[in-house]
Amino acid sequence: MTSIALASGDWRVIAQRLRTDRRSLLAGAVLAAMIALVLLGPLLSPYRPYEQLDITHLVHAPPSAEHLLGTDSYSRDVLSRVLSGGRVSLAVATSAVLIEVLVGVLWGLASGLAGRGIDTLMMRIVDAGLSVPRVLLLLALLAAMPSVPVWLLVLVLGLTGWFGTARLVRGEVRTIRGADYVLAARALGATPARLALRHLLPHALGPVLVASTLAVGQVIVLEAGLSWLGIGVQPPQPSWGNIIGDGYEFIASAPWVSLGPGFCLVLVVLAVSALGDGLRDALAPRQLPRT
Amino acid sequence: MSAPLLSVRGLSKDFPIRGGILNRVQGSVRAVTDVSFDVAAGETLAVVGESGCGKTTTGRCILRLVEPTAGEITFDGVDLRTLRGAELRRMRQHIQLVFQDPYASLNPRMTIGDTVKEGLIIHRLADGAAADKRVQSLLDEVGLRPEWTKRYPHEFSGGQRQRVGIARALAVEPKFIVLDEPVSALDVSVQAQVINLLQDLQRDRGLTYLFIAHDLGVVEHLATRVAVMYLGRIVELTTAETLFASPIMPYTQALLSAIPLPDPLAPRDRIVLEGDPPSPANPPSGCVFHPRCFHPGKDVACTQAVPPLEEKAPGHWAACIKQPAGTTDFFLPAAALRSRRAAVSPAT
Amino acid sequence: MTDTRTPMSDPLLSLRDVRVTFRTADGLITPVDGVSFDIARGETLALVGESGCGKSLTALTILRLIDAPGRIEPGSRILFDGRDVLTLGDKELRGIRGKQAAMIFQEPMTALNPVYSAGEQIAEVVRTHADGSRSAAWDRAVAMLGAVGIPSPEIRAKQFPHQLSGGMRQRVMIAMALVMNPSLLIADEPTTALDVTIQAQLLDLLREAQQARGASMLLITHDLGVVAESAQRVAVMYAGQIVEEAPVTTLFAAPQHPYTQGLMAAMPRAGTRRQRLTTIPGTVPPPGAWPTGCRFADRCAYAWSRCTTEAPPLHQLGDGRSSRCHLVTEPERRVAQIAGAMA
Repeated sequence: MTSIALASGDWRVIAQRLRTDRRSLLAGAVLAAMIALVLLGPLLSPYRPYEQLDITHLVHAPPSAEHLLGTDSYSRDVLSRVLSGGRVSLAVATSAVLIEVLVGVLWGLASGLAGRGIDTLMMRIVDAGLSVPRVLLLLALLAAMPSVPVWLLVLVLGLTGWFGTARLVRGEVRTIRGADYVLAARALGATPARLALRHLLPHALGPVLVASTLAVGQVIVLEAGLSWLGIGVQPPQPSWGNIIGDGYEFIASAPWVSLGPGFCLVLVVLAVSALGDGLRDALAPRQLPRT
Repeated sequence: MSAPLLSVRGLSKDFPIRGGILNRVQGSVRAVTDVSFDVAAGETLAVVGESGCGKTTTGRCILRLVEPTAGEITFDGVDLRTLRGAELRRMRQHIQLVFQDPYASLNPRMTIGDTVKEGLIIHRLADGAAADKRVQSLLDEVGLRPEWTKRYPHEFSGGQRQRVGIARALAVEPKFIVLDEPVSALDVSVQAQVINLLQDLQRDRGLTYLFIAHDLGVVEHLATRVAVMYLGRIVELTTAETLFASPIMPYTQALLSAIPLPDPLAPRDRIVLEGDPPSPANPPSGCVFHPRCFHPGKDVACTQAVPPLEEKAPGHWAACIKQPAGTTDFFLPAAALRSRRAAVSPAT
Repeated sequence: MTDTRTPMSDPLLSLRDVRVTFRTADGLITPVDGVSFDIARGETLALVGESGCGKSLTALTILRLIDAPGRIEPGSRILFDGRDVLTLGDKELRGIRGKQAAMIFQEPMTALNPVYSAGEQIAEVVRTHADGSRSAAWDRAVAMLGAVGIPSPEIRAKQFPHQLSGGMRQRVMIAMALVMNPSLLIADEPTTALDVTIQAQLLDLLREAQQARGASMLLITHDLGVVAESAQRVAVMYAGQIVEEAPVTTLFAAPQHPYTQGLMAAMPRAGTRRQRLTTIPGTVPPPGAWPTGCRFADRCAYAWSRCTTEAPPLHQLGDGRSSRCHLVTEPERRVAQIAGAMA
């Protein structure tokens, strides 16, 4: 009589669905290759990323057998810098997103479980956070700081990005907290902490996973933008953003400096988005035909 | 009756109505009004009525899953309304709940083994291998294969899920189970299996049931006594035999006669009630049933005073001012109905 | 499978060997597998069965409302008033839908559009199928609401589905279905979501409306009580097939197929108080997991070796009765089984 939603909670089923989705497979492969490349960077790098090889003769050397991605205005090997910068960019993005998720999930759970008054207050704070454009917030915060070490950049990125996650988790918790199976757990005498961790949080994890995967792509781009503006990752430490920024001045004469990291950036962001979409589809409940 | 296992006195529950831009409380709906009843150990009290009559809210108030607005609930000598926090959670070991919807009542992200085990862990009744063994024997007891512990709810049919829900309730060894429409979402052939299971468990474990239902056929089969609810109030309360043989309340009579009978030759002399049940947000004055009542003696008095639930005959309580004590029937299509029902011979 | 039935003379609706398949991740399933029946003019046929038996899907095929990944297989034939529904063009098909054959669904809250008032939804049906002004269509909608027993229809017509009670919403659905005076009503569990006193009102309404208009009705239900009250003939479905068909009095007096017998025995009734109910063991198998041979064999008390290997045909028993069971050809086994059970 009723249609049946299949298996939204069975991770084996979800993994199976991801494995049969060509887009997710391709995206996963691209990401895995990219991560492997930047992790193995120090071994693969032909040169050291900070080394100015020959400031008189090797400035803006076009790609060649010795320098696959050419050299920059300080005669540094672009490939070596891209590999090293990728480590920084990906590490900054994933750490920032982890902070986003941690703060957002805790805030959302607390708000979802709280009484009306506290819930309203907590959500007004989230609304306030969402109402200010994140880029403006970041510019204001980072510009006001005398120096921005990488850990601080990560923290600032993370703490400006959790509002959406909190709202998402709170919404999921509110929808599910009246569900029969949550009532059943309450009727069994489950403590609030047990309810939150065993019954409410797992329900929100799927959407959070999708949102945070997409957020990684977003933060990579944000970090690149900030670094390009000079208030993100500080030179000489490379990141994809500041390498692109370095090369931007010479985009007409030496396009390879920006193109290499730019290509990597686009590839990773596309792969992350595709994987996020694939996850979303894999997590969606499916309907059997109504019979 | 010796001291009842559960005793409910004057139970009421108001739900706030919110509205407006600021979502302020604008009023309240009285879902349950002044409900009183006892349940003796080992019996099955059925609470029947149509949607919105307050039967589910009544069941949830007993478990304190919904906080009553007023009234006393005494279980095994303990006043449940005074319990707080950890005391309340400990008490929940003794009163359990089985839900209507087998799809909504199991956590889709937990294996059925973990679902059944949860109560054992919470109340520290068993852990580790002992808990796993206990889960397997519970699954076996409700008619599921013990080796299915690692499976997820979506791998099971509605009837099998309902058995998992029953095993979850049994795990904590309760004395009392509130069965909230446990078979109404199931197919006929599966429904009979679950009804048999519930009867077997009651016999083997000495369980006491509060059986919330709208299907009077199932109620007649399972219940020892029946309380009929209409718009938040109990309007009739008596033994199942008496209720089905000689119902006093016009509403009960209409309810009984409305059941479609599986006999194409049965006469169609049913009482069809006019209109819909009124909204609990705006109940009629006096007797809540008076706008739809067909009692020949209905008059203006019915619209003025709320009729008390009185003992009209020994053990037979009804809330109708037009029905004097001592007489139990004035209008009985139900008697004819009963003979019709009996006439449907079992197949084969 | 060839159908051996004697064709009804001039039926309004005739289904022959209708098959619906769905492509799923686990392969091709056939939730409706060779269904045939006729409905005479003015007659009510009940299609009875448990969830997953294919009864609702069968109803949807009549108006070709099966969407991908579902498909009505070639070889299926559906004749409505002499026309082959499966070969009609889209325009002709739309001319039938809602006008000559109308559907009533189980859950009016989801079958009605929440953003239009009750009156607008009925008037929309009128304007789709008949010429005339907007106000004439509205007047017709209001009149129809009155005819289905809605008090003060002028006011109710302006209300939205969420402002109406469940019983009222189902009356609106019935008004929508009746407004073009269709010759066929397809009612899919029309009263299942309703309380029993409201169900009683609506069954009476449906029966009266149908009789007044001389319409035929295909009534899909799982409730044998509703069947006994409303239908003239009954087809029982199990696992995508019709397993028994009979006039309603005959079916209830002496069900032939073991599944029908089991369904009737499993109903709680007076006289069985506090006793164990007779049950059908096991559960309804989902489409795709149907046994070979007789699909009911693994739950059947009579089953013997032949049942698990050889699929029984729908045997015609005369007087419009049929049963898809090998017991028809080996009746002595029925006696033997009962004797065995008694011993």
